[in-house]
Amino acid sequence: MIEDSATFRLVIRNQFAELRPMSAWLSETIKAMGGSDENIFNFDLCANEAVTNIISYGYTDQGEHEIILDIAVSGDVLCLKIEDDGTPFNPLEKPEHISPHNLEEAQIGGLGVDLILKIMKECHYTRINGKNIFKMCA
Amino acid sequence: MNITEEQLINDVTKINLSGRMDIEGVSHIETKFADMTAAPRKGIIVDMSDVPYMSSIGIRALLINAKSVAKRGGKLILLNPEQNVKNVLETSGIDQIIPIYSDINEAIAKVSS
Amino acid sequence: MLVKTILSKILHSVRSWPAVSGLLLLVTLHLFGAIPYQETLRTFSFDLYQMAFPRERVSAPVMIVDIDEESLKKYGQWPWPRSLVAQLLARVLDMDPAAVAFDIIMPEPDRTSPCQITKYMPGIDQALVAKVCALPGNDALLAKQISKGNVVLGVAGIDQGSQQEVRAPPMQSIGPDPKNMMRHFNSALTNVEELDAAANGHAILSADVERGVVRKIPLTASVGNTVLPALSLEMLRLASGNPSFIVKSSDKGIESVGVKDLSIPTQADGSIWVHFSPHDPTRFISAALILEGKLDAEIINRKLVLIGFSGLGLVDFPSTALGERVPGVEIHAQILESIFDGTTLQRPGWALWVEAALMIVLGLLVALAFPNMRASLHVVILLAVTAALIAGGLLIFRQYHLLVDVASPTLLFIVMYGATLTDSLIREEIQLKALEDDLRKQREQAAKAQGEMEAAMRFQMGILPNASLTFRNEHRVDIAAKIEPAKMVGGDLYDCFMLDEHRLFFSVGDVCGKGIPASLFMVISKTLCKSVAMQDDMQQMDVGDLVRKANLEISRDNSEMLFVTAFIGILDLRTGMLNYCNAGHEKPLLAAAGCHPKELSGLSGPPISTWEDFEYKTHSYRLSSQEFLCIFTDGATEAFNLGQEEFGRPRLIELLSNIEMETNADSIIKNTFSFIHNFVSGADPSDDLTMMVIKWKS
Repeated sequence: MIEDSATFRLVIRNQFAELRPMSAWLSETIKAMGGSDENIFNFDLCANEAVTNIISYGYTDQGEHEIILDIAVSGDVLCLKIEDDGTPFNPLEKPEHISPHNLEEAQIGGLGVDLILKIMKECHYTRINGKNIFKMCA
Repeated sequence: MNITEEQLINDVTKINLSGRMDIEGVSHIETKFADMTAAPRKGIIVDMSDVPYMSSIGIRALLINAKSVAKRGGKLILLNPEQNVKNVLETSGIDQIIPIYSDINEAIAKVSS
Repeated sequence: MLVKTILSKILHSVRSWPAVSGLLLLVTLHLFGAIPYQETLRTFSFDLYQMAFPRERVSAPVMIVDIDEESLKKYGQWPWPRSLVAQLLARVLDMDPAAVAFDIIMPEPDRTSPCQITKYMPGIDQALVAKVCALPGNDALLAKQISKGNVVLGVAGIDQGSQQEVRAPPMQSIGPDPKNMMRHFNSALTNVEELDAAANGHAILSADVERGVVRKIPLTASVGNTVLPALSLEMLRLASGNPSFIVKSSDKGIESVGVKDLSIPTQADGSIWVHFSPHDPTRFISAALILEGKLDAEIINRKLVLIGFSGLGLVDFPSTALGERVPGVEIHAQILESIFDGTTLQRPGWALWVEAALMIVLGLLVALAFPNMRASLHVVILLAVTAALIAGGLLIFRQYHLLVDVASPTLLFIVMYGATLTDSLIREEIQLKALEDDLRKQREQAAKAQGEMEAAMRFQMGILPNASLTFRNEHRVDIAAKIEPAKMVGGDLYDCFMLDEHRLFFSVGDVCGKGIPASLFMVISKTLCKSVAMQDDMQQMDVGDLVRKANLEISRDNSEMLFVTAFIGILDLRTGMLNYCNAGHEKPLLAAAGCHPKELSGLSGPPISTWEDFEYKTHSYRLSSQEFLCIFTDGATEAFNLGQEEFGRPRLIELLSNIEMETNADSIIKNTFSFIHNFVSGADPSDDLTMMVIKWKS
């Protein structure tokens, strides 16, 4: 059993191809931290949703960016922190610079966010020193 | 991700999905999925028992196909999703739009009528 | 520029230093909230705002299902069996509300559940027990209903106790972690597990009750590590179908709470000031009526329903800012209404700074500007500013629903004015006293000087012999003399006394100079003359010699450089022979009725004291019994009128040429003086007016 409040970090690039490795890392790490299968699934899902949004809407340039993931346990609570250096963007919000083309797209676009909000106990967003810091806990 | 189909009685098509239904996964099966649910097929069962993970992109794929089938007067339902996946479907309220069945015979009966 | 002026004023005005430093201290304390009783004053003024403009209900989104006296009468005392509560809830849910919340906590399992009751029946058949216990318990029944709709159950935060996990809806926070900014409880009083598990919504029920008055309510608070929304917020979340509630914060604290598309601005600790409208019974509907099914579904349809008590004795009735006592559940209703109407109150973060700025401006106004203004202007400004502040506070409250504390700056203004006023008054009094003291001293000095003058005058006048009186009985001479001093004490003097049986000594003198030194000099001179005259051998009296001796004495002490003109004579009353000495004096006139006046021309020398040792010559003249010898000083001839014209010797001669046959010395003097008075008429006398008239009667 890994001790409380040890943090594990993964750094990925802002590409969809990185999502699978991210899921793999999450799965391993949460298991090692003593998390349940449900934990793994939930964080896998929410991380995917959040990072997908960040990659899709968080940058206005075409460049390569780093996304940093930190996961830690505190008491009974598992928290995943995602940090990126894109434009000010809260993965839970509708991106201002993108307008959905139709109602359907809007509805589907909101689904991911909806899932995160319903599944995670707490979500935090803050912007410090030009970085978006999004944290979710369950 | 993989996708196969089999024909059942009453002109019902069973589509078998396997693998992670995430961005990558869905991108592999998208086109084929659309083909398999195209006209003139009206009764479609999507077997989810081999899908360990589904994200909103997966939900999107199911929704798109379900809607196109419904527009033609047909029905698309899901069969046996894993518990976690079922939770996601229920949490997002998709189960109200696309019914979930655990028994194959019931499923067939549902899409045949 | 303005700042410079103010700064220089402060620096140069020593007087305002204490006031300005006092002001700065007060403002600093204000910014730190360290002024005692300020909070009380502030809260009281906010209550006044609310009383002046109570909230008007615009919408009626809330309905309170009230377990009232009626309900308790019909259905029994509280606690009701949970099965009954389940029924009530079922009826409510049937009418399709937007959300339902219980303003009641149910921490203990229902002891009236069928299975529980069997415990109180000793010797009951076990088979029966098994059957009875197979029935759903009351809590189960209620839980079932709860799970059917959007139902919120609340917990009450407790400060003591160990940290506890409570159920809460997902929270989304934006900005720095708000957990440490909000009200925190270690643990909470929760509902029975079965019920909590069934509910969709979980909230915290608490209010800040200060001395029985509710003014603020936290919209979010934490229990242990979990953040919970307040009852009203949670109802709104469920009603709007949002999966989580949102807390927005910044470095300064919590800024707002809400759900997607609804943001309620809060104070930094996540609480809001409740905007009160008066108690309204139409907010309430009796639970009994609901249970009886006698109601139109409209009453509940799409409303936010609160289930609570107004039954006396079951709950405390807190007071609102309007001074009414209302059931706690109505306060939740009011909060929901004000959220709906967008009329929630806020005390903005900048309010403290604005108040501080006002305090500084007003304080400086009093300390620097007021001392230079008239007191009447002070009062006008005081009243105008006070009225403006109060009006401003009320207006901001009414229009923008913001709570700005104008009471503190107003009070500061008045207190500072009072202090400055008192300070001024004290200073003025001190100044006044000082002035009075000064004045008194001056008066004393003046009186003293006056007194000295008067004393000298009395002295002088005291030693002036009244000639007519003194020589009343001497029939051989008619003598009169008078001085009218120009100032109080003049420079003229005369004297007359009998040297011996037959010889009359007289003198008339004029000191060059005026005022006290002159008079005293005159006195001294006169005394000297007299004593010298008395000393000499009477027989061989030589007036010239006498004057010489007197001159020696007088000159000796002459530091003021004064000198005396004098006419001194000795008249032998047997013969009418006059021996005289004229020391620089106006030549006397000899007047007789019907004749032109004659000048007594002998001049003996310069005025006394001009030359220390001088041989004064003695002159002689034999007086006739018709002649009046008129001796005067230059005050007569040099009397000026308003036109700066001098009376002059010619006029005096003219006047004396017209004396009558039967006249006497006294009359001549009187006439002459009155003539001169007429001439002078109104002008100030520039010199003493002196005259002595002597007639030898053989």
